[in-house]
Amino acid sequence: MRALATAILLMLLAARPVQGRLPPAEAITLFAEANEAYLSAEKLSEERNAAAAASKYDTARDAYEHLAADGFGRACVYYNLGNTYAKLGRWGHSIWSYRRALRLAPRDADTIANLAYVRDKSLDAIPRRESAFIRSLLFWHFGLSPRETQIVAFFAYYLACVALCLCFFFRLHLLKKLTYLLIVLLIAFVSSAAVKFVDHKRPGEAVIVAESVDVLSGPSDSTEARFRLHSGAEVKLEQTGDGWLKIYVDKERRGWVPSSACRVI
Amino acid sequence: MMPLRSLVPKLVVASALVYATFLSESVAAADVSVEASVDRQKVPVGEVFALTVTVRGATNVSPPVFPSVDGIRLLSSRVASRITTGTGGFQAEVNHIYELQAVKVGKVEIPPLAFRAGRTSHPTQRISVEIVEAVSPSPSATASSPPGPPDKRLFLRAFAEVTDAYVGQQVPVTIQLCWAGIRISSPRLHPIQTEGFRRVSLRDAVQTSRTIDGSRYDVVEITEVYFPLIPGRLKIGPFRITCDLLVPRQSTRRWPPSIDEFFDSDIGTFFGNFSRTPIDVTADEILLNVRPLPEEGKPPSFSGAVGNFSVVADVRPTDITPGDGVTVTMTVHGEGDLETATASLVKGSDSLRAFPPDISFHVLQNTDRLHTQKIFKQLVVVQSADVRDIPPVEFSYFNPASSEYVTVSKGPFPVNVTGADTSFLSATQSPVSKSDVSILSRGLFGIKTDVSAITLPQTGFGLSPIVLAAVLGVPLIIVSTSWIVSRKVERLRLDNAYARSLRARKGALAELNLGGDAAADTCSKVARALCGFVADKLDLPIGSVTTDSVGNVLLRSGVRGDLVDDVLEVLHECDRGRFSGRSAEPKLTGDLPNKARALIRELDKSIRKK
Repeated sequence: MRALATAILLMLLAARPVQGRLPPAEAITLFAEANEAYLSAEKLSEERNAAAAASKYDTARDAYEHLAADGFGRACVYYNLGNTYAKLGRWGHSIWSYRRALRLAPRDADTIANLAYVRDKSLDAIPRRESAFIRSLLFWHFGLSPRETQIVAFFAYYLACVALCLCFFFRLHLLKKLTYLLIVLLIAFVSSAAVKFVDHKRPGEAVIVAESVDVLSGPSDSTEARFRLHSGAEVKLEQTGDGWLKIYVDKERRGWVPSSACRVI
Repeated sequence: MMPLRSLVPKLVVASALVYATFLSESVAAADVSVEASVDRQKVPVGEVFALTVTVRGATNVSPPVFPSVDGIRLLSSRVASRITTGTGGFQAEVNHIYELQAVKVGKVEIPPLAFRAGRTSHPTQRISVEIVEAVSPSPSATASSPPGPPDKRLFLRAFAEVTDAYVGQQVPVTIQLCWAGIRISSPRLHPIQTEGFRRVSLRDAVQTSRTIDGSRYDVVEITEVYFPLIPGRLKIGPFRITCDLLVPRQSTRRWPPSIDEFFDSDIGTFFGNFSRTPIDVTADEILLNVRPLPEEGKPPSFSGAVGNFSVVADVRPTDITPGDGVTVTMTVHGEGDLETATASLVKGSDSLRAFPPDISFHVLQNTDRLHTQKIFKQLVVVQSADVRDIPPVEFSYFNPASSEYVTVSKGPFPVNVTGADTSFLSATQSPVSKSDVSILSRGLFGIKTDVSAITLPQTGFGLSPIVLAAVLGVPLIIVSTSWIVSRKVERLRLDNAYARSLRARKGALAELNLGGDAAADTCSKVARALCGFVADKLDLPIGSVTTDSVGNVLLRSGVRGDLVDDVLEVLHECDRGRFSGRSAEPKLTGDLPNKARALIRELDKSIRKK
């Protein structure tokens, strides 16, 4: 019962209605326009009209950013935004966009490929801390998007309730086992949904989007520069201050950067 | 009944098979040869000599029982086989080795020994051996008087054939446990330290008799082969054998023995009347100077084979058309280890498609050295009519006897290719060797243009928290209700008092609702309903609640007095109605059920509160 209550609480916390300042119809129109701008920019690029292409890419980027800011930050919007930034040569923003897209669609092969491509472009060699073993062990957590996790948790909840009701009236051993299994499934998916929700609310990673930035020993321009990072470096967030972020690369390399120099994933 | 017409072909086939079998046997028998020889013609008394019967051309030969010959004694016999090569190809050779001991001076003639191969008998020639007087003390004297001090009666010795060897060269080592004038049993060889060697046991231990330093000894002989793996000064051993010394026991036993005596000793020693004393015998280690293989003159095709080998190779078939395959067979055999050795075979080209070879390895058990054989079979597809021969194949090894590398090359093998060139067909039909698909250039995958994805909720079902709470709350309410209902059902099933109490009011009212009877019956029904209700409500036997007792029962259960009085009054009215003339008054009897209903409701509330 306690697990059920926890599950309900978490689901309530995670549940968010469709919201945004833009009406959906306008959002669709804006998305279509952004796509059109991107495609025409590609055509101009093929025709070696770099200036016009850059202008179109800028238009597309603004539209995608607008959509993301207005509550339509779907995986496809972030993916297209990542492509647009990549075409503009802004690797940091591009990595940030792809990371956002991957969070919403973790199995999307195009996003994974494009992210690998733009990561190759970044100058700083920062080791990935993703453990393949943990990813395999908690495959449902890493392999499903927040929406998918919530849907599975929802169905597991309903099935567990039905199985519980049946258990009260029919004392079947198999039914009991099935109920336990469903409850375990429910706990796993509710936990996963909760972790994703917390990650979303309290981001722990950021991408350097400035061309280069000196990482300082304190949240002030007057402090000593400890090391330098370049656009596209993915770092962990340790602390946020007033206009400053404390970042962490490894034990030796940590410090403060202006929050304008990086985007929080 | 089988018709004769169908029987005839079967009989013909069967006859042909029988004829073919006999023909093949006779052909096989014609190729078998048997030859006997002794290792020396003149043998001193007491010494051991070997009679070797070599059977060529057959492997499944049945040896005869060795006849009893005056003047010699059979000590042991063993069989060794090997494959030899000659001009006609391979030939099987089986050696039957008899260890014989000369026991009497004089000329001894060993009669022909008839070996059977299939249905044919193959006798050996007569062999003559002259047995002469021994220079050393006679074996009988040796046997009766043990040679020297006790440590000479039982000892272990180990020796290697060589003291200098190359890496990979086989070094035969003989371990001999020798004893004389004593009796031993169950010799057990302890593990030998063989660091830096690969060890191969050639055969099981053999027991024989040998003359050592002029004395006759019984000997258990173990032969092993060691292959040095690293250069340097290496040692094999020390060697240690544990055996049981059998000492005759003074017979103090009575017969039949007691149960305790019988079970205190093992069966063998009891009946043999010997006591067993475990004894360890050791021999020093063998030191070996191992040299590395020389780098000078090492052929490119050398793959580590060390020894002395023969190579045979052929190609079959030789008359082919383009697209056909031929099998190149290369057989390497000889003294040494070929397990890891490889050969340089046919390499593929535009006109020849060479497949990886099929390799088989065999250990040929024989004599005191390790003989091995390796057969390489390679399929080569000829793809062009221009091919005239199959390129040569070669095998390289290091011969430690001559301290030099030897490369044996066989071929080229001429082939006769006729017909049209079909290389273009084989190029399209034969499997193509696969390689990784290389990425020519890397770029971004295109954008996603499916606008419907925009309208999908980012998380969950896109429901507002209130709706979601309702959606999630309904199953919870259903589960809670189910739980309560199931508990109640369970209690009703198990708790009889609870079930009676719960059903008391309903049952009593149902009883009162039965109408249409006479007034006396109405009074009876009312009384029965009231008493029954009280009995059910308080879980009492029906018979224990009567008009006389109901008052006390209700007062004991805490029902207030005025209500009890009302109940009693109604019951008395019922009695009067049933047993007096007043029962005929319909007004009274018609009122009684209503009074009873009201009382039952009141009692129900009153008792439930308790």
